[in-house]
Amino acid sequence: MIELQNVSFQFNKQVQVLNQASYIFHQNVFYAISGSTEAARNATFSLMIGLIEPEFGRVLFNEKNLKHSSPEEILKDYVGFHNQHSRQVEYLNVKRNIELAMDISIPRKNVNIDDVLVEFGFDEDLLEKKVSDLTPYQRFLYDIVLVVLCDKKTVLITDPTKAFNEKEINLFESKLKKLAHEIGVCVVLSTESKEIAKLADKIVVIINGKLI
Amino acid sequence: MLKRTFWYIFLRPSRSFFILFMYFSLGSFMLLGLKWNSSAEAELEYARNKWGLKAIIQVNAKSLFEAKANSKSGKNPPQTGHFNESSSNSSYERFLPSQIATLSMKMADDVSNLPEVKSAQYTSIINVVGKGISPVTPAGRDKSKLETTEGIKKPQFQLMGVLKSEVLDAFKSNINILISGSDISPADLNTNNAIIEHGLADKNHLKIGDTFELESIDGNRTKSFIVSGIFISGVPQNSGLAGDLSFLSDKNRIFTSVTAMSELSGGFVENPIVDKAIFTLKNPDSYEQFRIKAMEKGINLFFYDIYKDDTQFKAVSYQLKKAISIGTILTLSTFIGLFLFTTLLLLAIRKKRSEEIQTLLLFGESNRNIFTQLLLEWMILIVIGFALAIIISPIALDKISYILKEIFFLIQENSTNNIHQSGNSYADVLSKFTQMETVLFDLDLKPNFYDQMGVTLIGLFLSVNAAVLTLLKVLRMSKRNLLMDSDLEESI
Repeated sequence: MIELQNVSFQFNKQVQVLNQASYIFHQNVFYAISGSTEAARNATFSLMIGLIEPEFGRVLFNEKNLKHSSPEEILKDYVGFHNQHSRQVEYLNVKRNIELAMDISIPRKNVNIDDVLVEFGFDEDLLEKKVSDLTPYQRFLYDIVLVVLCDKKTVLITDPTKAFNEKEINLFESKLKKLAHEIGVCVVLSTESKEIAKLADKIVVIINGKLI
Repeated sequence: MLKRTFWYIFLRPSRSFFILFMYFSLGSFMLLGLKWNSSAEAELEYARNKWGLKAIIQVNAKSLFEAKANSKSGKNPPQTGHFNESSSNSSYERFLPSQIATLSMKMADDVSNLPEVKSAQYTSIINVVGKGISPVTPAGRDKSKLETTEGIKKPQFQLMGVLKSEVLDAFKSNINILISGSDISPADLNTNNAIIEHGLADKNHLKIGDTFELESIDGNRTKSFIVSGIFISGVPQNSGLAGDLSFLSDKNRIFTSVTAMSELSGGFVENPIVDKAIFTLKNPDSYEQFRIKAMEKGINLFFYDIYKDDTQFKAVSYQLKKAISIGTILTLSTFIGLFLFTTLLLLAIRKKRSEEIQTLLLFGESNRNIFTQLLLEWMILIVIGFALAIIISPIALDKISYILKEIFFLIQENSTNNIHQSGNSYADVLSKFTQMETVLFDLDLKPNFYDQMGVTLIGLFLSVNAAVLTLLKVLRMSKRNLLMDSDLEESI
């Protein structure tokens, strides 16, 4: 659970991104943050996981003030991402990249790795590919697999659907809902598309620095 | 972390091989430079001992001429010299018919017992003619006649009385090489043994054990000699000597003991007179001490000259110092090269791996662990590269050092030719060049355990410092901007 309490933040000390904003992001829920600019949404992401500190207010992560947690701790144990930059070591294949992420993080208990890989469509051929050779949709799945296997409590996703086809968008929705509802992850999607935002359980809009 | 390290090394074989090859090369050159340097320094010390400083004592002919002139004008010469009133038949009789100072072997022996002296050599030389033995002459001038002027015959040979022939410069520097028989040594005192040049032996069909006779140029004395050794001279026969002076050629030089020579020159056999007493000192710095002690032994500077000769050591040391400076330049260049290579390549690699570093940070890896991983990867490659260098390069070093020596000699040969053209005698130049060649080709470039450890430690020290300096930025990288819309490379 991530709780923002009266958080204020100015982007580059000029643009007010959040102004005494308060909101609680729960586990098992798929949220979509919409509205405002992409930079504002990304800044909100960074505030949510403590990569940047609010000028006012505080952010609690599982009731613990993020101020007292190191970025390593948060990134390692709690938060996963999907954005335009794939998290990969370019000379390693998909399988070794997953292995690498699991080495650094704490692996999720009671999960069969092979089952997860099969469920997300990673057969032997795909596992041998470089991450950069994957399609946008496969790269999205790769990041979701990392969230599942590395026991992340939250995943922050920058909308990748512009590069998806219709079928992939449908699968995208089902995978994220499964991730939230079955695995218990707090899924937060940043999108400027109202259509895509509608796929989420809850839509959060940034208006005048407030999260509504 | 080790798994990641090995992935990096083994999944990028071409890059790893390139880095290994570079460290192998740098390590090898560092080993060569250090070894070349230390060997040349050791060889300099060896040359100091081998060629060192020679102190020479000989009769001061100039003073004696003055003494004779003073004597004629009624002035008395100093009375403290070693005069040999009965030596009118000595080798100096051509200069001073009466009352001359001579250097006897006994006097020289007294000086040779000084603690500063490592070894002694006595030499005397006279010109003689052969009886039934013909000199080697340049082609087309074989019909030399025994012309005489006022009863003095034209010399055909030089007879050199020595204590030990093997320590003569020509033998030490392998210009003259004994090919059969034995050297003249103190055991040959009071014998008729002589060593002659191979060409002379061939021309007169002489072999070991054969005898031949020599006669003084005034025709008063004749002596028979036994061939006890045959040497071959590296100096070309026609190296600038005219036919009339062919008795000065090494082919016509005969070596015998100082006693046998003294007999032919009319001196005492029991206490022969020598032209020069040459003392090799244990320590070149003790020359002044030696000089004072020699004077205390009765070497009066009015009658005798004492002077030092370190030209051979200087000739060799000059070249060795050049060799040392080459080694120093090579070593320093390698040190700089190692530091620059490590720094520049790591900078490039750090830049190229920025995405990988960002990924590791987003996976939750700490800056310190990433820094350690990058350093570890590099250290493994450096250690393997240097290990290969110290294991394999001794084999390659032989070849490389031989090529370097060849290049070195090519340069030196040109400068030697220049010296020759500038008026130095061929034999002198050849002698110096041969000494240098002997000393430099003796350079022991096979690295030992300490050389290898030294190179490894210095190499690691330089490389680790360069790597740490270059990778320090990884420790300072902020995660703050990782999720912002910043360029990846800016965050690195």
